[in-house]
Amino acid sequence: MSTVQSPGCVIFLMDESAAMGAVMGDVVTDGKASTKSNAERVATALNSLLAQLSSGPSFDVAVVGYQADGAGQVNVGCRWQGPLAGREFVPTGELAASPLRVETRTRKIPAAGGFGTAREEPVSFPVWYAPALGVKAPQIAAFNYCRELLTNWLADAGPGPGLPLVLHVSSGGSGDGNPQMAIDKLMRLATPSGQPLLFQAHLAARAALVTSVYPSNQMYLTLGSARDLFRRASQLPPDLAAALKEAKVPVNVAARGLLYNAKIADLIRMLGLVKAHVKDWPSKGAPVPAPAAEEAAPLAAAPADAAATVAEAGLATATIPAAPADVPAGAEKAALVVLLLDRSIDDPFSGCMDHPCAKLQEHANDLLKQVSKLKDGVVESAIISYGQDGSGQVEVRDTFEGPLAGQSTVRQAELADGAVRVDEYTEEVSNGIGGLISMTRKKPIYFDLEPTTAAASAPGFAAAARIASQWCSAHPAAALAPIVLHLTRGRLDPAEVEQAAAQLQSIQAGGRPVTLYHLVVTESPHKSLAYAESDSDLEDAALKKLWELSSPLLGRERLAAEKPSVTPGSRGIVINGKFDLFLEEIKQALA
Amino acid sequence: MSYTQEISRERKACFLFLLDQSFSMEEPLGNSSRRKCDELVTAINAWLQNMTIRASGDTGIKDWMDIGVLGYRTDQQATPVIESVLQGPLAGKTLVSITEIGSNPARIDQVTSYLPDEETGEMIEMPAEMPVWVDPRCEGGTPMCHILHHSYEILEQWINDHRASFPPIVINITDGESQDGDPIPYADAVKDLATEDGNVLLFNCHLSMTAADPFMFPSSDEVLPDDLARVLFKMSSTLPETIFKRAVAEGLELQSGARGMAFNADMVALIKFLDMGTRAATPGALR
Repeated sequence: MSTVQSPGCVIFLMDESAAMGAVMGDVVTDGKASTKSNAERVATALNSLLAQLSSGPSFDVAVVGYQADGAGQVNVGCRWQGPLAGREFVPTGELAASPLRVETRTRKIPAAGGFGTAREEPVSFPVWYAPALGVKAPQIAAFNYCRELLTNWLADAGPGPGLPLVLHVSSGGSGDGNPQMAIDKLMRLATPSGQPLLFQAHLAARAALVTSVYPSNQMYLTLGSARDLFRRASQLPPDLAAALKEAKVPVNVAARGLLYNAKIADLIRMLGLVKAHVKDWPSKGAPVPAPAAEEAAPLAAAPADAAATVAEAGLATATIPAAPADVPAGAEKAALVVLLLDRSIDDPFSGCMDHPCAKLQEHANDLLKQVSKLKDGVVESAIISYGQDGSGQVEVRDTFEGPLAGQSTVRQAELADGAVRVDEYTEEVSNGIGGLISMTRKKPIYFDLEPTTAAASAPGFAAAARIASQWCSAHPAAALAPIVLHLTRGRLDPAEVEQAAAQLQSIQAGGRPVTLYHLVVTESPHKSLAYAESDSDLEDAALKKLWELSSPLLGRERLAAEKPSVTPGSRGIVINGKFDLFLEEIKQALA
Repeated sequence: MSYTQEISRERKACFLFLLDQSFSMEEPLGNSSRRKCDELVTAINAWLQNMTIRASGDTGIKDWMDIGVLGYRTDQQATPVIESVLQGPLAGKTLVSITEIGSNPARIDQVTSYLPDEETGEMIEMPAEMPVWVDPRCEGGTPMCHILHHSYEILEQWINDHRASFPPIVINITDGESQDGDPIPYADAVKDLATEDGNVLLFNCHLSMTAADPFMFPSSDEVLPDDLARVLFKMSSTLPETIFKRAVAEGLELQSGARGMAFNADMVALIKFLDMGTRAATPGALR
């Protein structure tokens, strides 16, 4: 049986120029600013990693340092000292037995919260790499040396070695000219498993500098050396990106193995990637294993925005026994949502922007944005508004405008690109630990109407009934009857609105009634209420009538178990609040 | 009576938080999937942590303020339970200095914080460590009169010892109405206490389960939606000029006569309210 000649190799390429002597001064475990030089701390981080690697499966590792003195005398080479002096690649299995020296160091364990004194305990600390700094950083020479080292290694590596990884730790630019060509040659080296990976860790000279961590687009990097390094860093392979995500480091698709102005903690995390990279390598000198099927590391999809996180989290916990009973088996996965807007306010000519009609339109636009994101089934939307035109007649608009002009019902997929315009706004959201962050969000506008004086609601309801009825004939086996959401300030004549709403009752939706909900934004102050089961908290006859006309909230039995605001008697009415459960039953029925 | 006293070691500030721990705090907070009590203690713990950081200097945490966090609820016999809700080494203490707060969190929790990603608009989860001084609790009713009376006694004592200080700021956070009587006279008594720099400030924040627009710092009770809101309005101090100007400078649209009150608050409103309500009495605020 043959043995593994080399499972793969890793080169640590270390800048040893004077710039590495900078003192970054970031806060460390005793709660104070570090006073050690970057070179010293990098060496500690690397020695610590080597100690961890020494106890795992064996593979080839080299530590290459580069420096030049003031006269330009270049000193590039492997930096093993002590028992390993003069070696190039060393199997990690040999490391434990041959450190340069073993020191006793003190580990500081921060007190709770970083306050008070840290607890200290002695640990034995093997040292392999102990740099002495020069002046300049001859990077061309350094990368050429690495390429030679790799070429020689490949010649002896045996069949199918793992992908070589070069991790370059630096503190500034090159001292012997532009290294781009030398780097290109290194990165284009052909190995049996592809071109070598080159990761770049550029250290911050001061803690105050802003760190760029695994960028995926150079647009977000400052001009100059950060962008140069972006070109000189490989893309993170999926398994390493997954490892970073697991460690809660944010990485995007196509993120590069690049840190710019890194703090030591960032460097330590990047060094940790070496462990993930060599994880599946067989141990050097072990019997050759049977080829195993590669498993792609699944990438965790990040939520689209904060609101979606909450919504999806809510859905995920709602493991519900099948669909509700009133959805017939084999039903068509289709639904119709009609938003019926009352444009009336007391004084449409006051010029005040903060009126119920504006707020209702904001709610309606937001609901349509939510509809446009529905994934399952076919959800059609209709938007209808009623108000009084200049001549005292009721004006009803029952079609979309903008790109969708003239259409009375629109599917959710078309809705996404069919807004009259898209506004951007900044919203502050909780960061989960008691702080706030600003998010820029997009707000598609579908309803964009002026308020009018009060108008009768009957013509608006008539339009809703017509659209609902047509839709029902086209979808006789739909999973849900049409849902009409009446958005109003609630100042309607109770008798008039009752008659108007009655037009919806005659519609045949597979034997089920049309659902009528209300979203009210009052013009004078009124208590906020959501999904009330009685009209006792409603302050006037018109609101009580709207409550009476509102259908029971769909899915209320299920929702009552999850949401304290819902009871088995809940009606579909919200006053001065968000109708946040509007799409619940649609999602349920069409899933 | 001017609310201009600079905060220092000799002229300490005093913050007293009154946390409603009644059963209804079990309900979720508007616009959130977490319970009111959970979001509330998150906001309070974060405030305490921020204050500790703000009071920190080269020589450690400066002894710049005294802080009390009291909870109020009732037990199964409907007897009011008023106690300090500080946990760990500070358990049972009513007013403690910020130095004690800073060095004695009950524990450090591993929590998840969210950061927006500029390139993709995604929210990225980040692990974070959060010192905890206060834990959530909810049972029984809302004995608001009792807690206000208790606060009166604590503050009367404190003011005796700190006559020249910026007056204490009391922040009452509740989700419902008082269940042991009309709290307005008790609130008035608290507000009648004064240092040489001004009367005690009583601010009230109402948390809501309904995702509704919050009312922040209203200047008239006519815009308020119900009786509870109007009671809280009457209980709340008018913002002194120093705080008012600061809030306006921060971009809040305030009418003159604005009161230290929030109604229908969600987490975002609560965090802003705590920040704005306490800003004037934090070190360096008046410089």
